[in-house]
Amino acid sequence: MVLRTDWEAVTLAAKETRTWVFEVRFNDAVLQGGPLSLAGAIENVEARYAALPELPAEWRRFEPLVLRAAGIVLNNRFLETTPNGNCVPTLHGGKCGVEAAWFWDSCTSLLGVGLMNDEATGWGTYRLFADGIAADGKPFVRYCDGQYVEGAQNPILAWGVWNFYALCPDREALAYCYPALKRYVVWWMRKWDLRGQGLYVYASGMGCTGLDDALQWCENFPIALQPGETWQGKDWGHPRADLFESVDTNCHLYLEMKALALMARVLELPQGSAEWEQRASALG
Amino acid sequence: MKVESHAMLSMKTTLDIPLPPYVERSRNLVRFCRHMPHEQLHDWFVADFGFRAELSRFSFLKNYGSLPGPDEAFSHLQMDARPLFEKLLGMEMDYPGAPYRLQPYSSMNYYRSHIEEVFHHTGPQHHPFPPVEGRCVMFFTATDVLRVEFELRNKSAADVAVKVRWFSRPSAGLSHSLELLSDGFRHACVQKVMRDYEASATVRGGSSKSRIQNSEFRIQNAELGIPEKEWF
Repeated sequence: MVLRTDWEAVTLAAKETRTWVFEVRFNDAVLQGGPLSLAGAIENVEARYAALPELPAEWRRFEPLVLRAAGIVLNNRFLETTPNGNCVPTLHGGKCGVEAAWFWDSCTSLLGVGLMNDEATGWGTYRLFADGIAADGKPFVRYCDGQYVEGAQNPILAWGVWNFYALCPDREALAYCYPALKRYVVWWMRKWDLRGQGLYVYASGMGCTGLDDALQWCENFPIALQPGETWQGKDWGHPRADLFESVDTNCHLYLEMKALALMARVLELPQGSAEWEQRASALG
Repeated sequence: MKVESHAMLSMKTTLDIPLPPYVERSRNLVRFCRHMPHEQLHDWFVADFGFRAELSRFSFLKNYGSLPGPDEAFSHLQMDARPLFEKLLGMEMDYPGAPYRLQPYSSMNYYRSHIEEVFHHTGPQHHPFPPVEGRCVMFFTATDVLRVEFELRNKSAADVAVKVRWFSRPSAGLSHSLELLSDGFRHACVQKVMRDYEASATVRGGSSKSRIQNSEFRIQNAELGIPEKEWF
């Protein structure tokens, strides 16, 4: 939706200054759960900060940083509407263009949510993510506006779930997520071991590359300037993640396998636990 | 962890020196702009984002790369917030008969009390710039009331013809309503977050300072359709 005024033709005389003034009056009102005053909202917020654990003396200097991080995490919680119409609390990656539950960002940031004992947001996000893993294990890159958006980021979903479980244990939620996590890791193993060596390339052609693109992934690597070349004229080629097995992707998959093994143990699936341990040992 | 109430954190000054403009009623503008190389999160107010006045329930953002005027605006009555505007108020400008395409260029000055955006238009390299310099000042005159002043200054000794217009891109939310006023519009939308709420904004103005009550600002059209977001 875009609102526009008419064009206004103006002739600015020599040295003239012309001013236009706008005023914006904001208002808001809570629709559910009764009115919430600003003072009440502030009280609620500060209660959350007050509930944060004390930092050890040697880390006390990081307190402003911790408070900032806590504030950002709290600000980015959202109530998403799932494809079947339910509402679940999730964590967005931020505002202004990143208003979505991102795969990678959530797995890392939800640890902070777990430290604040916000089980609903953590498990809400992970259940939503588990629902978004396709039958063949294919992942997505983010969830927003009621849709899963296709793509891939570095595989840290099982790692994220397991570490959140360590902070906020919920065996039922873990059991809900486990089958999807298993499908997801198997998808990586089946699809991205391009040379059959038990090592995996990054999921190329799936959109972004975890926002940590290395120039050595470019076709024309090495990219160092040769005598006679100019920076402006250098052809670096395009990034191609399939050119080699990246260390970080394999490290992440190792952690995924270890996490699945630990989950299987908690869920009393001894065979599954042994299999994932074996896979992790083979890779690691 | 003990935290000072943010209301207690407003800075006071006892210096007997003239205050810069805009500080009289709002001396606690806090900010957390988009990530820019030279900027960081505010280090003493942990839960805020955007520019806002003390106790204001609304913040707005300003990106140096956008057209003049405030960008996204958020309500944060709750801890959760969704944009009320994708672009609160933007200024478009044209120089009729210009020999080449002109691109706007902005630079920003951030103060505790207000934001000042200075803008002008550039053309191809080695071509003269138009002699008009623009300024947009964003200032909370009261809690939840934002004043936006656009100013054009002709620095040359000759008349310069320009065309100006303003636009706004409200966010739709779950449901929204739009009411056109004689001198602006009112936009309201319902957001479904931890606790559902309705956020609204009334935008008025657009004429010169002396004629704000009889503004010529009016809505030309309301085109439905949400612009594509820029993901990265």
